[in-house]
Amino acid sequence: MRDEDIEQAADLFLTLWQENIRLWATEKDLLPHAELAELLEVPLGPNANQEGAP
Amino acid sequence: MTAHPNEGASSARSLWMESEAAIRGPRPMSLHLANSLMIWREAGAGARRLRAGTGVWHSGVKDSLLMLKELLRSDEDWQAFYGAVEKKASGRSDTMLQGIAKYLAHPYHRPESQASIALQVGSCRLYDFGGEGEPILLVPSLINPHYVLDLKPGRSLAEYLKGHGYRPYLVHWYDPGEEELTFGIGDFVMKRLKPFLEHAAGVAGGPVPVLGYCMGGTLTTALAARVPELVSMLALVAAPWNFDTKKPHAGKKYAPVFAEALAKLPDGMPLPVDAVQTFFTSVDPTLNDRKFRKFATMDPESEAAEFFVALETWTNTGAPLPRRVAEEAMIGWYRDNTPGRGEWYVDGAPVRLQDVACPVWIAAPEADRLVPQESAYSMMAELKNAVCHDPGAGHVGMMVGSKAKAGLWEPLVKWLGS
Repeated sequence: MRDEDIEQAADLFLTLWQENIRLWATEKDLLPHAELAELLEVPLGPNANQEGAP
Repeated sequence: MTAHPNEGASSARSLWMESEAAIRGPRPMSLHLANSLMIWREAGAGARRLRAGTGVWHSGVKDSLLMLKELLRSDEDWQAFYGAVEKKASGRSDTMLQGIAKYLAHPYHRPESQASIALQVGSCRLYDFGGEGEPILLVPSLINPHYVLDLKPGRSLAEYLKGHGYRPYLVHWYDPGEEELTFGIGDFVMKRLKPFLEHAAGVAGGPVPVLGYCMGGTLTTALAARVPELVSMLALVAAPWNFDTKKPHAGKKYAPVFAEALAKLPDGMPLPVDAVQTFFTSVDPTLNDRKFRKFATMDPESEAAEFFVALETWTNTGAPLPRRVAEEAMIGWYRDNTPGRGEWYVDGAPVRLQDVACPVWIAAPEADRLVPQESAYSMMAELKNAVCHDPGAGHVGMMVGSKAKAGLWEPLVKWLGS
């Protein structure tokens, strides 16, 4: 590919790369704290260590 | 409750100007820097994942990326591509940082409103733009400063209304004082908006038009339902009502997370400004990067650059949100849709749209990314006398942008005069 085509491809990729992140960030559901903890099967929060977390 | 007309106006103003000057965004700065720098730092790895076929691409960009991949055929192409991506990504980081530095160094400061303080109740103030016109009460959201309705000369709804036969009274919520910090949303309606409305109606000698913007529109709907005899017309601009819409409200999915975070704050502590701003960042975590890279290329002396600084400062300025207000908005409104279900309580009773007696104008753009048009328009079904209007711009752009005059201000004045 010619240098200018590579430059153009890189610009396009960066725009799509940021857009990809925007779309995932704004559309993907965010897990509430409690559900995330359950999923990870580890206690989260300020008292986690006192409750025997690794 | 205290009420003292015109008292302490200059000292209050200078205090406000000082605190405003001290806060310049984007807020929270660390979050915005981390977002941008991480995106660009990871871009090179993203390019390699594109070639390896291991990227997780959203359907909105997948086809375009796969077409791009087809163009890169040789190993030489890919190596040159990686180099260009990394160099340009680094350049974008630099441009974003330059944009923020340029913004922070920009000399623009918003000129003071040409308004006096007509009334102060607690920490809240009512600005009077004066003149002989018909009084109209303007109510902004509780979250960002009042002055989006009077941003700068030429970009001011208050100024426009004054030039078209009205005497605007603009509510300035200000930083919540000791009393307001204990308030729920209904308290702001009954203990602050109601006396302000009574003042404007007293000057007019009868009921006055009321305009509410964004959350201010939801508040003025309750006000019109509680004191219908003092509201002659109600203009609602991007006022959310039904929070259970097909297109979700911005940040709705974050409401349960915020509810959990709120529960962990010390008793009575208001929601900090940076937490509120984090919530808004969730609408589009890449927006600041694009905005500040664009600003970096602007002529700093242009009106466009001044407008950017004025609006960006407004966006990033605010006051801590009283705890009960935050809980009511996040849990009651966003999660449980209390207004839309007729279960939002103000002054001990649910707010019923049937109690709004005056004509209502519902302006809500299709392009609004914060408040879905459907949320605002949902009120049409239960109001006795309402019309709707699409201002044809975004949530903030319709109020102060290049389309504001034709899309919102002129149609508003036409409706008010009808």
